[in-house]
Amino acid sequence: MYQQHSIIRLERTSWRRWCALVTALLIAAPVIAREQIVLQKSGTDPQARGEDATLNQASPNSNNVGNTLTVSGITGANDRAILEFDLSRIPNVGVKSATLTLNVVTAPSASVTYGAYPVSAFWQANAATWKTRVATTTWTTAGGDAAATATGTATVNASSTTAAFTVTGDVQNWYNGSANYGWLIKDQGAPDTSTTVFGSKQASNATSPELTVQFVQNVTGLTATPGNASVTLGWKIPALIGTPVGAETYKGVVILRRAGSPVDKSSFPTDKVNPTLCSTLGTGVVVFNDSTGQTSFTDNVANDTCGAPANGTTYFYKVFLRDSSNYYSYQPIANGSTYTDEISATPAATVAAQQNTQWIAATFATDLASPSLIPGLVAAMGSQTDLLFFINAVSGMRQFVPISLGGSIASRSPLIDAASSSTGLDIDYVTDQDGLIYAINTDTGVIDWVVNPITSGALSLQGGPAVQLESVAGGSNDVVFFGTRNTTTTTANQIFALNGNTGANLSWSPLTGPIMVTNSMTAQNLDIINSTPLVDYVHGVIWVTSRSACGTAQPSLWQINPTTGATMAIPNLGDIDASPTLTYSSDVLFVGTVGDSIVGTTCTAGNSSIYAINPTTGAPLGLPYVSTDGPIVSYPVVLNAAPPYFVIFSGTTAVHLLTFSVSPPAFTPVWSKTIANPSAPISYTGSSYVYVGSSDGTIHELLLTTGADIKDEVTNIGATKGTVGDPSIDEVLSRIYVTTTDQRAYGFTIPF
Amino acid sequence: MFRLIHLAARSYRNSIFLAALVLFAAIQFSGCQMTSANGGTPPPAAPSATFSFCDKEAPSCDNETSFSATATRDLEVKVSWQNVPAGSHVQTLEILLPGGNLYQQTQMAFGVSQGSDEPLVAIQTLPVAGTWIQQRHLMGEWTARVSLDGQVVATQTVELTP
Repeated sequence: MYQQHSIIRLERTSWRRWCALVTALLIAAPVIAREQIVLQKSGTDPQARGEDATLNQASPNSNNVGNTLTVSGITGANDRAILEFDLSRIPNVGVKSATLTLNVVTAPSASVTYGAYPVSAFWQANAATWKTRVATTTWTTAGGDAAATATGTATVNASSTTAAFTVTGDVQNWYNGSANYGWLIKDQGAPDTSTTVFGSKQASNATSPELTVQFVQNVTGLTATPGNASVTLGWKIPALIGTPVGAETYKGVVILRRAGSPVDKSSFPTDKVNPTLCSTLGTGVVVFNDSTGQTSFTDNVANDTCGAPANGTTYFYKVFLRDSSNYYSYQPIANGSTYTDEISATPAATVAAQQNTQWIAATFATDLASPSLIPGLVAAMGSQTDLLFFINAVSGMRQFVPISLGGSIASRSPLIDAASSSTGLDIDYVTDQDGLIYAINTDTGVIDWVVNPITSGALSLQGGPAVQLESVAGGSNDVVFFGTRNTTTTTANQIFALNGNTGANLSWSPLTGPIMVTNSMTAQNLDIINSTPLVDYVHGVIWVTSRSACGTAQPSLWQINPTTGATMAIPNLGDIDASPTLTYSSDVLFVGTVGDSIVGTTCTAGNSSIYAINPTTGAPLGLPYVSTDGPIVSYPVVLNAAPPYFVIFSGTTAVHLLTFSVSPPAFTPVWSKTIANPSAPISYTGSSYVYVGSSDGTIHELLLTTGADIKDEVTNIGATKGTVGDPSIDEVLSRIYVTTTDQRAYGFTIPF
Repeated sequence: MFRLIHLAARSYRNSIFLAALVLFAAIQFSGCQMTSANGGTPPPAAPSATFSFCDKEAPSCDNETSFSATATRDLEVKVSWQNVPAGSHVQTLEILLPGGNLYQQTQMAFGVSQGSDEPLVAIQTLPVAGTWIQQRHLMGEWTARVSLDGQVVATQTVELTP
């Protein structure tokens, strides 16, 4: 027995050694991914969105941007390097590995270990100090807000020339919905006496920080064409943008399919594994598995042994590009990958009943504002994960990696093309719930300026900014207007006007309630502003709507002279959350109210109203139209150029069309169409249709003359059905774009 | 928008002292079940969090679980942390729509001093009145989910009504 036991033990020991050897070899083997790129400032890569600085504890208010980054653990004089990379060269990739390398300029006298910690708050290099992260906004924790544990560490000694940190998880997260605020490099052994100086972005290119990324690209040009019980997918295999790793090549795709809803983010083929055709991966079924470089697949009874598409069902396809080692275009992280390209189509027996998306793009969190556009080129949309997306309107691909801002974006961000902007740039103005206002170059993603327009604290912002164009209104620059949503007061909210080129307050900005107005001897209270102001070029004024303390005792519609700040208040309309709308000739202004009022001590829902206002005098034109359908959603829309005007709006349960005759002034209801929780409706000149999103997961195409529901296009009607937001129409491409609560944006061709 | 406060009210401390006494007695009578496997010092308790939801404008917070979107301008989501070890931390708060889709995600860094026993409460304001919640009738059972340093610690539902 003893001998026998002894032999078994020897065999086990040998087996363990063998396993350990194999494991060690596997670990030592290079990770094979398809492409690799080194991001570093160079003659061809300016790293325009990259930035870095040193945060210095001994000089806590000093901004330190220069040729070096210093990291030190000296008690009371800690230095930390903060840095962020511009990932624009790889906008549509699935990250497989990432390594941050800092080049040592002055090595420490003794061995020291540094950690790379992902930063958790928005910062700007030209403002960052030990105490402050951007403008006048401070870090929550002096010295930089960052994760508790380092993603990667590197030990540096007196002879080191580099410090390399493995940061794969962070970079994958940035491609998967987390804001990219870069890294904070800290001395893990602090306090100590070690100091290391690294090269910065400002330094010579050779010593600038490097980020080495291995990745698999997405397919490009993904299309889905519905037929009778069939869907034909087409795609392109992309050209390399990096250096091939090993002898790997892109060699095909794996396609997952799901009915009703998009394939969810936890469903993907595992890297290095070839999935079985017709197997189920999460919520998707593998309906196509190719390693021969095919660029199309017709999903029908002849080709699909897993079950051909059925007419009338919407199918979502997620297309994973693969390389010859079976690495796929997704992010292999714990909370799933939302990155991979996807598309949908609904087969039907007749062409009229068929439908398909032009593209689907991940936005990672709810956004229901209408996307802003440079028609034919770019659609921009915010996200409540602090990200701003610029999507190629043709392909649906990201123009560049989403821009990480300081807070949630809960409104439409006006996008001004270079020909119209006083900045000379394609520019997007954004407000966020971090209380910051941004001007962002939409061609590069570079933040042209960001301001906190108050000297301390942070504004509460909900509505978007409006832009008065210098090219139309005159003056020396575009002007950006917005209002605050400070719910701690019903009297003292503010209206701001900023120089569109610099972000500086105009001389009269801000107006702070109670506001002295031109049409009353008493100052008027200003309640919260949830809407985006309206620029009235004909009358040379700005219109702002606000709430009015759930009553009619204070104004909720304001007319402001943009040059002087002189304000006229239009009283007694009640709470307004919707933005106002002007007719084409600006002879009538329409506003829609919330309809609530104080009952007892509680603000209670009631009937809302659509008012027609004379924009010259501010006087109501005739009686308002009273709606029993809840608050007006987003804004009313005027559909024609001459009276009688067709005014369309949404309430809680339906879309409503009214006519408004100017003389005598009067509203007349035309039709109402029941739609589940409709978005703001939209149409365009010459169209016979009105488009409206719904909580049923579709966009409805209504006949303008009767309200008849002609055809619906599906965004997502399955298990993860979302509410569809306010649409935007791109007349150049004849497309409509929406975002939904299912964390995606969709593009469709119109008419449906 | 996030706020972080250290609650230091005397009555709160009295409550904690009373709770500590009860806990001490319980440990004594439980045969030292909290000692580690090697019989040494007890392992540190894992971080935990509890939620409370308040109408920001209400004179008092009664930890209600249902709110009217018409009457509530802002909903305050309060996360009370316990057993958070000393050091720097990042809280991630996710607000999920009825049905489970993500509505909003926010991060906040905070630090805990060595030996600190002050209750730690993080407050996030969720705008309600006039937002998509009211305009698009996003009513029903919402979920708040909070993570500490990437690990989910607690979830809690709250109902929004028209």
